[in-house]
Amino acid sequence: MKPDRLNALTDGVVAIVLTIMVLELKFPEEATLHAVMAVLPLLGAYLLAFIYVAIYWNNHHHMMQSAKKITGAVLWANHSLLFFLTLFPLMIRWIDEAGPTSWPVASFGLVLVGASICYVLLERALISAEGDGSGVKSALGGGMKERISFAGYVLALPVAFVSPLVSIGIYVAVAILWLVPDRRFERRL
Amino acid sequence: MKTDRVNAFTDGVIAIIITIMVLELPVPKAPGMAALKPEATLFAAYALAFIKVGIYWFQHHHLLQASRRVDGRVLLANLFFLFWLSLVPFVVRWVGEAGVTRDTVLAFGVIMLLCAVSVALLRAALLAANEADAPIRKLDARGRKGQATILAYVVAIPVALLWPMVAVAIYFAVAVMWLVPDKRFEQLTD
Repeated sequence: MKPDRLNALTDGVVAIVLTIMVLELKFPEEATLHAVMAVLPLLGAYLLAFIYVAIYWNNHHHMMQSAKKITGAVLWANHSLLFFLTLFPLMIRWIDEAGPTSWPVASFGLVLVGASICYVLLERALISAEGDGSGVKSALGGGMKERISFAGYVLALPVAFVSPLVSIGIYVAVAILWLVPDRRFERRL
Repeated sequence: MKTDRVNAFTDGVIAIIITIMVLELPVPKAPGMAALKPEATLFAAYALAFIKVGIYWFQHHHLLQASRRVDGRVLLANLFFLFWLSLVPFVVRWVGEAGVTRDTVLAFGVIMLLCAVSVALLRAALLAANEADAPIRKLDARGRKGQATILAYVVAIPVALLWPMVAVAIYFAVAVMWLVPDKRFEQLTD
């Protein structure tokens, strides 16, 4: 099976996820500096979630450029990834209602853990669909970045109950790591 | 007619269906495990609905990958299918408001049954629209998995009236049945 429609569905879902997140944003209640400051944490959460979803889309885009063949296992792995991506708008709303406190910040990390596991499953499913000559496999290499990110998210979960701000710092740091596009695939093409 | 646009249209509608469901999920009102508990049921309903819509998309994907052309009847069957599928977020919202009750479980079953029936109609329309050399004509002509699904929902609907949780178990069982990929199909379309 060819990956065209899988890509089309993924693009649709990711586009909607990115767009409905903005519905959670609020105007400052009055025209004062204090009121503007009050909406800043939500704006920050929105920005971070937007960047994360964009990173996943970018990586998906790059990886699917090399993928020529998909299987049922690829469809399921992709669908699981989409499931976790749709939870980002919910996390934003939670941070809006509860502030950057332990539970929503840890849950944000849990969504990141879920998404990163599904992404690795998707990589593996694509590689096994294509066999030894897999373009995805030769482009990916060891997957060091994936491991560092995963370790970061797992570490951030318990840390959120001690200091949510440190966890947010970890999320931001991992995001910066990924802002550099995945050159592995660009090099190959 | 070619399959491109009916695929693009379906992908768009399904992407929206699957994504707007998350808007129905509430966030916990307080920190701690206790506050998560009331949300857990709706979250499970969301996950099940997400899987079900995914399965219908997979079926659509498979059927259309195996087809070479579509006609007016296929478009109509496709629209009929999308209509029932678009009601899934509505049931998720209902579960959010009323919980897992007889009525909500029943409604979910009825919508799932109508989705399954409309996929069978779509399949029949595609079989009629495609020549004998199209892969769809070489597949399991009776569509056993689809028939088993329809049967399961026909059983689940009256069961939901008496024991809603048993019906929920049937819904999950049907999802598990579809988890196993159709290898034969994959080979035919490669």
